[in-house]
Amino acid sequence: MFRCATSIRPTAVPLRAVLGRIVAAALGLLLVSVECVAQEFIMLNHGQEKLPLIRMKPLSTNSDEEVNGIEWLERNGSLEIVASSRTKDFEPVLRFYPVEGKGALGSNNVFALPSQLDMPQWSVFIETDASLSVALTRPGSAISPLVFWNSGSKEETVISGRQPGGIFSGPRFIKRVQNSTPPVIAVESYESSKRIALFSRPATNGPWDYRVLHTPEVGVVQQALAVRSDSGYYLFYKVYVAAGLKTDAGGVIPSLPHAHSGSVTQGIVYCVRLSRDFVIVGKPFRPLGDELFFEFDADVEKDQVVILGTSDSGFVLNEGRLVGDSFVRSTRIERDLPSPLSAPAVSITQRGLCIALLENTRSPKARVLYTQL
Amino acid sequence: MSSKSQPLKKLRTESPHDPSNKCIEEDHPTLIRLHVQGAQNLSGNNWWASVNMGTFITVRAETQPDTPDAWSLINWQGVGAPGAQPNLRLFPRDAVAVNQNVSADLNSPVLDVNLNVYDLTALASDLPINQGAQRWKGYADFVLPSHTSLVTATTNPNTPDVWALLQWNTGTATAFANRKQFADTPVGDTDVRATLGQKHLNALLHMCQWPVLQVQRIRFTNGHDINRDTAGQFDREWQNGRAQNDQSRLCHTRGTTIQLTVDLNVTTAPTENETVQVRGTANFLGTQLQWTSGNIAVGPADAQVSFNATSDNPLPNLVAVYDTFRITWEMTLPDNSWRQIGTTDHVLYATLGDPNGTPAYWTLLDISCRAGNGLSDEATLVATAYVAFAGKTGDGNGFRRLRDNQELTYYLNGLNTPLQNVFTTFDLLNRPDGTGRCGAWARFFVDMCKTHGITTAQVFGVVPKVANTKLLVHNCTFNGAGSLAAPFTHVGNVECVKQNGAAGQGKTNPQFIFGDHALVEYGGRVYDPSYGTGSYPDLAAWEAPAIAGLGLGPPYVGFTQGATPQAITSQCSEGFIEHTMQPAETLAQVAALYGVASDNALYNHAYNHALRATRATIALIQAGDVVYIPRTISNVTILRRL
Repeated sequence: MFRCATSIRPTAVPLRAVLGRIVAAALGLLLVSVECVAQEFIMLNHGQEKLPLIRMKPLSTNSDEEVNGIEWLERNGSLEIVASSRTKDFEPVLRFYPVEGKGALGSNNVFALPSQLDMPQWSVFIETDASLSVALTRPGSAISPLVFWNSGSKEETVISGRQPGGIFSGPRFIKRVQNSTPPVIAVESYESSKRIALFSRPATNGPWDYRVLHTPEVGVVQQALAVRSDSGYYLFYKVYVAAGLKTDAGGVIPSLPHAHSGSVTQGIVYCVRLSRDFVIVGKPFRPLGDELFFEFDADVEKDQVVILGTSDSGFVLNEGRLVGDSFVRSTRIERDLPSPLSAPAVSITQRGLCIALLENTRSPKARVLYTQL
Repeated sequence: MSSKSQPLKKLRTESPHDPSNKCIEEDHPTLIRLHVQGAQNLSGNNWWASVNMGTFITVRAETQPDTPDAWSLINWQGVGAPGAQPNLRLFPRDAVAVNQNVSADLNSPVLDVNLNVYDLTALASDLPINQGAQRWKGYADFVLPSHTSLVTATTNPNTPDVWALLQWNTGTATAFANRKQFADTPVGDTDVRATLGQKHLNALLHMCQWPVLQVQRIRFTNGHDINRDTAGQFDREWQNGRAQNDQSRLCHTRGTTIQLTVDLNVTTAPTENETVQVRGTANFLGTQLQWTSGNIAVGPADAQVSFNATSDNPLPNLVAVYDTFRITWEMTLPDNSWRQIGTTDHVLYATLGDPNGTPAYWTLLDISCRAGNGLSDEATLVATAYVAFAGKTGDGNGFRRLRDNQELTYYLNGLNTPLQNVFTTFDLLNRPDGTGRCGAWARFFVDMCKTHGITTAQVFGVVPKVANTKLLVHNCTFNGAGSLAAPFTHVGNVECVKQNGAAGQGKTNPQFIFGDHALVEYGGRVYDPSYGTGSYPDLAAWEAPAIAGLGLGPPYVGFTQGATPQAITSQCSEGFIEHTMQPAETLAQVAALYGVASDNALYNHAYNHALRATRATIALIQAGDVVYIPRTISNVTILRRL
């Protein structure tokens, strides 16, 4: 049986406020797993207060393939976890696991991605015609272009065609874009550093529009994603800042296993506001301060923000509001787990806050853990 | 004091005027002794006094009877002048006098005394600074090697017998009585007094503490930042107390001067404000560089002082690694001589030019500067630095990342080599496992050039000219003619079999099938850093030994080679180019275009079996027909630049 939390550390906000918020969430603002609240508590603050534990459940998959990537997806009223893996014939596939609603955990739809020797990084989007669009890398040895693939047309388009020698990683459809194919955010290796690139689908056929969205002044960007907001977009990105790291006595930089890069080093999460035209209108800020994370995911619904990050001991969930160029945190929950975590995926849905992570990635024991709050 | 002649007695006086010429015995006044006042007895009837203007040595004759009548009979001889009474003789102490005799005669015998007047003329210290007014300044620990100083009295006459009369209030005796020895500690004032009779002279010994400095921190202000292989930058500092291996590595462009700021701890504070100079001296391949401060004021309350300096000479105009260049630090002493105050050791990389377009990564600097040690021209440096790549292929032979000694490899995990963060120099140097793809290794070499300001080395990619195929890197063997249809005639892993190698950086059997490959072009030549091969005059020269053929997949066939997971395309070819016949184009023209010996050789090649099946003769070939140009009979590359 999967063992639940080993500990929850004190938060930056009063524990009673956290508890109150989660109880309020249970009443409707957030859909909280009743089972979770009812069954899992841990005593904190000398036993004076209780916090619900986040109970992570293992995803039952029907495949012995090693999962190497996950995303949340809402489709046809069903909440699904999309998991990628590679077949014995080295074919990359996406498997869909409904976790709630009709057919929850009962089906296992498989989509074969465009064939390639390497397992790509990817992001999925459900088009208005219910077809599945995927933005994925097609890594070679010298270059790593981005391609777009649609399950309806079955056509593969090199969306980074305007940068033929480009090296792109971590493609992510912009979250919360509806009714049209979202632009794709990716990290581009450029000269001796990395920057955040944006690809937008053109009105007519042809190469996707390309623009450099942002180049952090300090550090090397490792991961980026964007979320649509009422006034534009929020761009979240993680930056490797060597000055904030501590190597061990042997000069080794701490890292965790990562499905696609083998390992990932820590960085600081930044956020910056973008206009509807993807122009930076705010000033980059660090919503979680100097805290270091190996990977993160974020979602924004109106003014509610959640940021899920992996740490060297588990994961950290932060929830709060974005006010101008700052983050006002209301909840912070740390969860220690004995095995390394990766590929955090978080989504604010009608059903609540959905969290998923990969445990023991790049090993035969790799599995998906998830929960809904 | 007195000079006594003899006891009282009656004297027999013989008068020359007595006609009877008989002696008349009667009581005559006699001279008893001579008393000396204002002088000290040396010995016997020798007396001395010190010069004392306006005063006298008084010699008084005592008579029997000691009356004015008797005194009037005294016959004085020698020096001196009459005193107030006849029995007195005055000798002035205004000037030095030696052995001045005064005698008195009263009815015989004659009594006399020898008078000496000595002078103490000078008292001087050998401390280094004469501050006037009989004040000398010296420094504890710095005075003389013997750590002592001397105070010397000068007398007149300046002879040992006079020196013996000197009295000192302090000091240690020496072999000469006119000298006293003083230790150079403690710090403070010593009032030395030498006295000769009534004359004395003083000397104030003002012992001070000269500052003692120690190099605490050196900031190299005009060098280039060295990136510690993505784990931050060296701070361009030497810090006292930091382990030598943790001291910052330094990078300067050859032929430039070195600027630095030196912070010195005042380990021993001076007792008063002093001025010193500090200099450092180092040797670079026979060229001496020296950094000299201006005057540095050091006060009693100062804990640290600093100075900025630029080396008097530039570095040698050569690429180099100065593994242990040592700066010897000195500071001035009160006499402006130099005293060593320590040494500092440094590692310095001298680049060809200013790093441009890349951080100056530590490992890149080390490889290139070590390989190019002593070089001064760009082309030779690039060629020489590249030689290092050839020696680092194969398992366990790879370059070591200096930050953590991690071996750097090419496709360490074969097929399972990660696909993200494996394309750049940053990736290669940042990844815990230190592995990368060809893009990373090509950029590694290019960035190595950039650390020397060489920006003309460029990465370029190559891909098969035939779309959707993979290139197969040596070593693969194609067994027989193959059982599949042309042009992919060989079954992967059965008829086309991967052999040991070709070795890549730190990996004997890296992944060997790729959709592309990254190379470097510099000076019109082609380099393949992933495998350390080349340089080659052109792409064709590289391709021939590097590429085994082409593969068509998926599907792929997985296998392991040693412990390395590999995959090969299910269909393999020794390589070819597709050519679509153009209107009015002849096969002979195509053969010539691709360097094939003849149209017949092209037409009859096994790869064009399908063409022959539809076109029975060469003459029947039409526009739109696809002709395979086998690599084995062509001189045109099967790969193209991206």
